[in-house]
Amino acid sequence: METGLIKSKQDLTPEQVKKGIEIPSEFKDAYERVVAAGMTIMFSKETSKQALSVLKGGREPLAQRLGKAVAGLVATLYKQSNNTLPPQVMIPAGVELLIQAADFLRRSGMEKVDNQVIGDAMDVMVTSILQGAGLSVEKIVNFVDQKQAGGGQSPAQPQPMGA
Amino acid sequence: MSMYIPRHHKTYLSRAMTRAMAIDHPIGDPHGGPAYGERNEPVSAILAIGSMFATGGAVLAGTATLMQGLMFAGAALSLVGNVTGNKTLSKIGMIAGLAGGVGALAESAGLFASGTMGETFGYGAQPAGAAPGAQLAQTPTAQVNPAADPSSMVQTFPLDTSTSLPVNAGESIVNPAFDGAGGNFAPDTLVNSPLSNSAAPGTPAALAPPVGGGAPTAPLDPLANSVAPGAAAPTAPTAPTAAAPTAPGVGTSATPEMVKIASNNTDPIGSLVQQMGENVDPSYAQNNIRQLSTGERFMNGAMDAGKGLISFANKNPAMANMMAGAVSGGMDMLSGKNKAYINYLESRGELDKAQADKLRYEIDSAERLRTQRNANYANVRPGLRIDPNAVKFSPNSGLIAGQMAPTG
Repeated sequence: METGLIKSKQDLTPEQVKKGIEIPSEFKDAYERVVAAGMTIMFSKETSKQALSVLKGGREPLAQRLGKAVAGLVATLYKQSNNTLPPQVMIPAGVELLIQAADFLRRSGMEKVDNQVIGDAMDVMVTSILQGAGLSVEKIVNFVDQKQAGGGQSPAQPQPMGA
Repeated sequence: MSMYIPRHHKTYLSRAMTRAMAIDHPIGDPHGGPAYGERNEPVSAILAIGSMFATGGAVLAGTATLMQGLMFAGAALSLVGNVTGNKTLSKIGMIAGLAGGVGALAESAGLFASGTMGETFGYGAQPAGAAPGAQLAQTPTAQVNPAADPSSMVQTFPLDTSTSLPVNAGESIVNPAFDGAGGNFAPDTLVNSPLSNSAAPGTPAALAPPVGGGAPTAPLDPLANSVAPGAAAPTAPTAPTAAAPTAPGVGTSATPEMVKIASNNTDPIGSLVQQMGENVDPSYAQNNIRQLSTGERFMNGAMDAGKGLISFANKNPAMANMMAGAVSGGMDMLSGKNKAYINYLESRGELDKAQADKLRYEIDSAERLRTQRNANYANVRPGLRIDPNAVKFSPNSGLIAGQMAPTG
């Protein structure tokens, strides 16, 4: 029996993930614009085919391709804004763009996308963006582990659903 | 006698040169055109996406500013990590809790007893005989409430509807009746967080000037008790009425949102980055990472409700006052005079258009896929009846399909 993990047969939806994104009012406008720009590139008539070709290119697993594509998209939007885009919205925007892209691929039948693919792709996306700033994800994870271990008590794991 | 035959001299222009000749901005204009960084050609944007990380990319942004983004998306990352079993995402999502400085607040308010907010945040009950505040060494974990509806897989926040929401001293609003809000308005967006009176005793949260000007006299959250300078600090809020967990740290969600509070540490992100041994980027502006006030949540939810907002505010002046105080220039925002609100509407419009594009593309793709499959079926199964509306071309056309035409 796995502990600390909650497996669900129901696919993650954009609405569920968006509820976990909290943007303060001072960044909300920039965040909405970034997400709108990213979705326009992914889904508009003029650019959707090219965007899809970028996603489908390569022999890597789908999660790798999806995560890198969304990270690249966010980076491109940052560059196109002449570095005026608040960096604070990059990761949240990447999260929403990724779940929207995954949802589209699943519902259109183009690719088989399950929760595992979404999780791995999200991991790749966040790692890529943080690496762009010279920050290592391993460092963050080790830091969190140290903080938890330093308490002397192991935190209770959430009970698995239906266990 | 030789003849001079002129040869055509061809000059191949690069795409950049071609674009430069077609633009209406002078080259070198720092406020527009190519020098400004505009890349309006969509293909260039798409090609850049694919090559951005293949070439290693440039340093995008600073550490502290990106870490703030991690905090904003912390709950979402934790959710995805928990559902998919990705421990990296779960741990990254917890970074918000580490930066929240909840330990300093809870210790000063003496909240670490069994069945109180200590357990709400995922801290265990204080062991008998342990030094006061021993739980502070723990890190609150982002947990999912096991009692949550498994079909939704969304972390839920307990809504305490029994606690009054004091606006000013002596005045309280308890479960106000919402009039004229229409079907779109969701009262559940008004979350009564136990952290609304979050200022540690003697350390009021950042003060916002009241609407209409004047010296600040109240905490940022207008729903908290007003704290005049020199007045007694607000008493610690009572524990939420949600069922107390049966075991330490289990049963009640302790999400990064609940621990994102303003504490004595005015720069939690900066200190966290330094603890990790990273340098704080020069562009990082020291921000008080604060929880969204109840009024801001209300505004966000009400704006999502659509056009009923203004008529709702007109019919509920008490709520309108609260909304006005919740966000600076709130009433101007409601009336549409504020530029920020106009920008917000524009960005929502763009987002709606992008959503429509997504749906349109999805429908087209599914239709093409279905048509292709039906056409293939018609080719290999001669006796199969196909709805002619579902097949975009005649099954009898083509060399092979023509030989396999149904005889019935």
